[in-house]
Amino acid sequence: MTLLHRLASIVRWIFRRNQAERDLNDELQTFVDMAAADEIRDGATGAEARRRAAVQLGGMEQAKERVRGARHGAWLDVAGRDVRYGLRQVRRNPAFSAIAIATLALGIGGTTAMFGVFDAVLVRPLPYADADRLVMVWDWETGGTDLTSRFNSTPAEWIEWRRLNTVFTDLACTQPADATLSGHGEPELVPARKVTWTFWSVLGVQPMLGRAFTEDEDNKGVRVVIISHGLWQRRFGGASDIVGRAIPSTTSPTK
Amino acid sequence: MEKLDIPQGTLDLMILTMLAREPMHGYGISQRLAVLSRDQFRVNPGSLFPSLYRLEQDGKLKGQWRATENNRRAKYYRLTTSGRRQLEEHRTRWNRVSFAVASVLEGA
Repeated sequence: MTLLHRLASIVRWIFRRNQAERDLNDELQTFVDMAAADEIRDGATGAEARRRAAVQLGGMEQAKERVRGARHGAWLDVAGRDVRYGLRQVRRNPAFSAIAIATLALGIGGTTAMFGVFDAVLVRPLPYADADRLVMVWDWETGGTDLTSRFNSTPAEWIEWRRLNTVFTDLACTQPADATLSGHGEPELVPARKVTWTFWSVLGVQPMLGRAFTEDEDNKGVRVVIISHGLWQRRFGGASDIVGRAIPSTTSPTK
Repeated sequence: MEKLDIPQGTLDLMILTMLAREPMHGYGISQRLAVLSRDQFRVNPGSLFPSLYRLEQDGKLKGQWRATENNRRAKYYRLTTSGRRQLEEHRTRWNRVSFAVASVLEGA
């Protein structure tokens, strides 16, 4: 309850500032008047009584300031004054302010962008099952010391690595294979990759519709594709009979 | 004789105690305090009013403007239920503190 009272009182102080100030002024004035009346009763003359009463109060403005400063929410007044002072300075010196604001904006923007990348690349796990157990495997030039001596492995190596593998649950292989879609509508270049049939189980993902590639299809080199949700929606209007449809492309007609 | 400083934290307790008897205005409180303390305490309005305002903000006191017996307008403070509770707690704690201090002084 104390907290509620405090909040209500702070709100009152903000919105009925003049009333609150008048009340405070009247209250302190009453104090002085009463003190003066008592001094007169004790035998002081009018002027002397008022002087003594004022001394008792110890300065009207000082007393008011102490009350204002002691109130809960007094920091709001201070903050408000600082904001007003800041805005006055901005108006007085617009060129300097513009530079300062631009510097701040660039700084904050840059930091945010950096954090965005950092977050996506390093902090957030990949959107795959057991992402912490996923690794990339490369060929390495004998005696190579930096990343330039790294190169991609061949399909034959993948077969051998899988056969001799004792450390990984499974291995999958992928190569870039961007394709141009033809047929209905504008021809369109889409990013694509060739993948081995193990690709889906290694990443722990499954197509929404249809099925993943089979080992048999991989061995025989059957041309089958799995398309992204985005492409399905955009180019094929989210057709429900998309599974099994032939998709004409320059690389080769593909199912 | 020089007046005593009011010990830290006891002004609220004394205000609450005096207001528990009857509602009073600021000047009345300062006069009553002087009388009750046998003129040892004299509270400066610069300390009294901040305390009153804070207690009012916390809902321990309720202020109300009305006429005095001399037909002046003054803000009278009265204790709320929450203020009464606060007074009880404060009083218990103060009794313990003063008893503890007295025990130490006598025992040493």
